[in-house]
Amino acid sequence: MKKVLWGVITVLIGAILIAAVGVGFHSQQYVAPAGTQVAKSDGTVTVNGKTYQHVTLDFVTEPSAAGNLPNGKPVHPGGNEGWPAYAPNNQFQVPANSVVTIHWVQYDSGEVVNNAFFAKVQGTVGGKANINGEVVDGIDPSNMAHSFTVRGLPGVDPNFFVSVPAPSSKLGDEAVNDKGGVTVDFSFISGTKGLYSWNCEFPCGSGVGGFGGAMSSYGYMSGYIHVV
Amino acid sequence: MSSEEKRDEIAAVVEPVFRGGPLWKRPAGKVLIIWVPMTIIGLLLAFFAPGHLFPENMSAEQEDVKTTFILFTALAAPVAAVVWGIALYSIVGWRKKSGKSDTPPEDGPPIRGGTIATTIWLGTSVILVVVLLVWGMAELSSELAPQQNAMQVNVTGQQWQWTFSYPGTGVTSTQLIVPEGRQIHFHVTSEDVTHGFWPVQLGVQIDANPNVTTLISATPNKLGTFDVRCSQICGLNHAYMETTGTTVTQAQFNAWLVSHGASATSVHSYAMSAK
Repeated sequence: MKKVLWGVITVLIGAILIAAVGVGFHSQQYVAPAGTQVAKSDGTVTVNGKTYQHVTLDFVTEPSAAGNLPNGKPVHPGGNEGWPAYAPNNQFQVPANSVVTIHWVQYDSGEVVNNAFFAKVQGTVGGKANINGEVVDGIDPSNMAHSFTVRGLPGVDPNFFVSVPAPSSKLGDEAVNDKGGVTVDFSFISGTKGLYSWNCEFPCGSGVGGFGGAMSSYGYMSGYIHVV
Repeated sequence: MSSEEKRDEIAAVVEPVFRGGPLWKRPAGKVLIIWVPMTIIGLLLAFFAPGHLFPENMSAEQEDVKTTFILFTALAAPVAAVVWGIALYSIVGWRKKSGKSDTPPEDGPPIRGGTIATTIWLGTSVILVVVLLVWGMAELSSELAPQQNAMQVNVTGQQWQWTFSYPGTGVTSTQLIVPEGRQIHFHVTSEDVTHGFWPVQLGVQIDANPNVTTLISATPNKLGTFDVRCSQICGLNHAYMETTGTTVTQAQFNAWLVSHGASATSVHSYAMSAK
């Protein structure tokens, strides 16, 4: 009887430990510190003869995550002087199979991108983007600041791929928050329902290869798109 | 203690293991009884588990990998069963029994010699290892042997995206499209940290290192899609560094290149260049 009791206690302890590990992992699930930006509805739009629901998103990229945006909200709740960041959100929600138009204002400085492939506009409606009023299919790879690169997660829409680059701000190496911004406007057709990830493909962080700091911490140069 | 006394003492320990009394009552017999079913289980796993655990065969290399896995597991099964048999017998047969003293019995005398046992042990090990070595070298050699119609694809990993370019055509894509029935030479490199290029169903994998180009070959032999993953933990979005590859016919492959901006001339030149 005593042996059986100890056996049951051992199994219970094991189950509790496993449950604790599960709860621990679940608590580490990424939650956007600045909340989710839900795309604004903007009627319908026709692309290649097919009519889609049209929604819009807008964001900026700032050279420093510290400080506040013009509307008084912090660039990033985590701060970090000198870390570039997307703001005010890094998590978005858009409807499935709709045309998503993004208005992006880019304030950070630029450099040479290590892979010129990401200086091209890819996966957008018409394969183009409007950068500072000019419709282009790419930018100069030697003066790139960031990219907004979206991919479908495994099992969701593995072939989904949108990547749009942004050039340096008008202030170049003197870039500061909210000044000298360049505008990047583009549209893409959202995929099927599910979770998609996006990140910047320009190594704009600190450390070896520029992949530390902002590039290694969720929410600065990466995030998710919930397609619902 | 004289050498004769030592031999007697050892014999007193060893003899009952192998001789005297019915087989199932002797330690060697008990280990054998455990060994037989465990070997059968191991062989069953070797022959039937890979069919369920392995990704679909989509290349000659993946078929070789699967065959190699089956062979190695089948040869290892009886050896592993000996180890497990002795371990299980020792754990169960020599556990502390209720009512017995907590003090463990004294160690038996050290056993040395045993020419027959040593010969069997060493001989079996050598034969197994040599068979595995020869088989492995032959398989590796066949995978690396270039074929006449081999086609070149440049593979670049960077946090956290794969890009594939087809030399001479000007086409670069985030999807890997390859023709069926031709050996593909993947020239793999990285723009930043170490990644691992792993087209899963093609059965090959190699590291993508910065400033170095490594080569791996595969011959897709089945039309359809396959997964391309990063097999080296490479940073924040490593888990998402995955894309799909597609094996198509040569005609479809040429058409795909043209649809991605390659000229008909460059496609023809690219498709024929290695022949």
